[in-house]
Amino acid sequence: MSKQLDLQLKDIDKKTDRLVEIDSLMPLSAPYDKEGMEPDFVKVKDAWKEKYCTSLDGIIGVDTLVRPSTPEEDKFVHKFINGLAKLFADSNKNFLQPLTLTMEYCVKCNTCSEACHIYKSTNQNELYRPIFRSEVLRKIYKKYFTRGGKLLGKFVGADIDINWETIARLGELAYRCNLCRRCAQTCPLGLDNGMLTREIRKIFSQELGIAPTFLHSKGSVRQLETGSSTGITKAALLDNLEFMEEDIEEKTGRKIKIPIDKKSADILLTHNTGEFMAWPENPAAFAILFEEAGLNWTLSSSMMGYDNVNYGIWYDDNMAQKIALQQFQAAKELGVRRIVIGECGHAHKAAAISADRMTYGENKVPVESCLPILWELVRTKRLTFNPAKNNFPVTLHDPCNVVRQMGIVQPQRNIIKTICPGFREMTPHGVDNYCCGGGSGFAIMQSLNFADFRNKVSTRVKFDQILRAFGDDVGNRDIVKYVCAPCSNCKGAIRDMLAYYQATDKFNIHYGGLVELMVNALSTIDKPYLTFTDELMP
Amino acid sequence: MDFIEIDSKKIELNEDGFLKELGEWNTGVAEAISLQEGIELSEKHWIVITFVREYYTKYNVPPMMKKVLKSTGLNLKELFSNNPVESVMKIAGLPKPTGCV
Repeated sequence: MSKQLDLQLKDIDKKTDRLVEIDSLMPLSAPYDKEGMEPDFVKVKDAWKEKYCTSLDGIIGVDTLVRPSTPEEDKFVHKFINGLAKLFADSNKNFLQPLTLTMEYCVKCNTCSEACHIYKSTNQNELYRPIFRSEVLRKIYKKYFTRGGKLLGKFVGADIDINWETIARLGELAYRCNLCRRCAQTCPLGLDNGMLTREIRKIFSQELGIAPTFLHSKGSVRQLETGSSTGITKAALLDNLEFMEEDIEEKTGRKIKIPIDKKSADILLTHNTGEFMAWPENPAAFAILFEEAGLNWTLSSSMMGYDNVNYGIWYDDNMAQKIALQQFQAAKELGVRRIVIGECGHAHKAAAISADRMTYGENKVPVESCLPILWELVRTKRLTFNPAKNNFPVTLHDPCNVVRQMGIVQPQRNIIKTICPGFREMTPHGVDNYCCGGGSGFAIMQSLNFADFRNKVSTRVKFDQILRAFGDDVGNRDIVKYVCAPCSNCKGAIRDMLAYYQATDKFNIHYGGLVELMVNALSTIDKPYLTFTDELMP
Repeated sequence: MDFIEIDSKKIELNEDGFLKELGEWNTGVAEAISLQEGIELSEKHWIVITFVREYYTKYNVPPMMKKVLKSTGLNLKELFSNNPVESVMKIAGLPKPTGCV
């Protein structure tokens, strides 16, 4: 096993139990700058070593990437190489050009490394340098697909053995990147190592049928079968909505009938269905605000009409397209004028960007983000607020898909600046933000020891940003502190991070969405909407 | 493969500690899994387990925990763990929750 700074590219095929150890982590800011403030990595079980690919860094992200019997290994390698060839074919239309440019033009200036939160949080572990995996892919490509590589091998960098271990390690490594594309934004040549990582995931899913269970078989596939990756069916959805209506009345005194399947409404509001199960106060807050503003809106209860998630954009073009087209179809059947995406980052990107040219004309329904609409309601005073009700420190986490991938930066800030006197920015923020560490599926990959990687490594920089944003207020337990994260995945990652570091119990740091803050400050409601008591305690 | 043993019968768990075959669940299995979780089941625990199982049978998904709390009036964190959703589902012999929850 190499020390993390000694690891070299050619080690990727090395016969060893583990390529590299995560032996150093970025120190956290006060009060987490003392020893013993975080748990250690869970020990890798021997049974896991036999079954999975633990030979990269000891973490298992891809629980379906299991060691085949020896005769099957060649088939595996062959399929991978076949899939790699397809990435460079015309049929990979949307990605072919940026992929080819990224493969050919990287000058290894390493500007991207400085931008990567995972590289930063591990004190520059070579394995997580954004171009490490790209370079491995280049070596494999050279070896099989260039004349020089075939003839001259190691003299032109095609110097690694390609076997199950090498490729499985690359497969795992494709799940050590959040696809946040901060590296792509900073690359002086405009190359995109984030996209390249996703291309590797695509080979595994589309050619080898290998993707993390919670993204694929219990994610996309479940969504296409039941209507939601949570498994929430129409009946369960209606039950949840009924519960929410009762809860709204109790909390605010208002009797609201949440509109469902209203034909020809202006807005079809779609949520990440995880919200209904884990954070029902978020869709409830949307209902309160939209009703108060008198919008002509509806939810859908039809199959593929209520869950806006599309995990396909993290690993598989075919799944992404299947889901997106059925979501458009559900909106079309309802006859709404536009789809408005609630507080879910990847759903923003999936529906508004990725799916934009998957269909057109009659089959397409315009897609908008909820954020500019909410800001418009605030700006025009269709909603009025008493900011004094949000009299606690608030910081804003920017979901990568909303800021970097879509350029929606100001509306959410304008709202918070209007309703939260204690607002302070994180550093950096906006399009330069850091990922929450849950991006690209990490927030929902809860198998084996992957949560360790998320909590200790991929969310580390974000946790430190939160600590620094609250500064001296962190240590004061009497002050409630609120991390506003307008995205379900980000909330999942932040929830787990705060629990892992016991930051709520010890330092009174809370998290939630944007609309909850808005309802909390509404001048027309007397009772506070945010209570900051533990929601799982009576 | 992890397993629990009841009356010298081995019952398999998956790597995340959930029952492999949901049909193998009974109250004895619940007791055994809860011991692994470091929880001793009381009457209050059973109120929660029964509620969650009934909801699951009806809807095929776990209930929102807020609903469990409201319906039972019990402190889930105190009864189960810091991650009560997983813990309850595990002991109730139901699958691990999926999706962005």
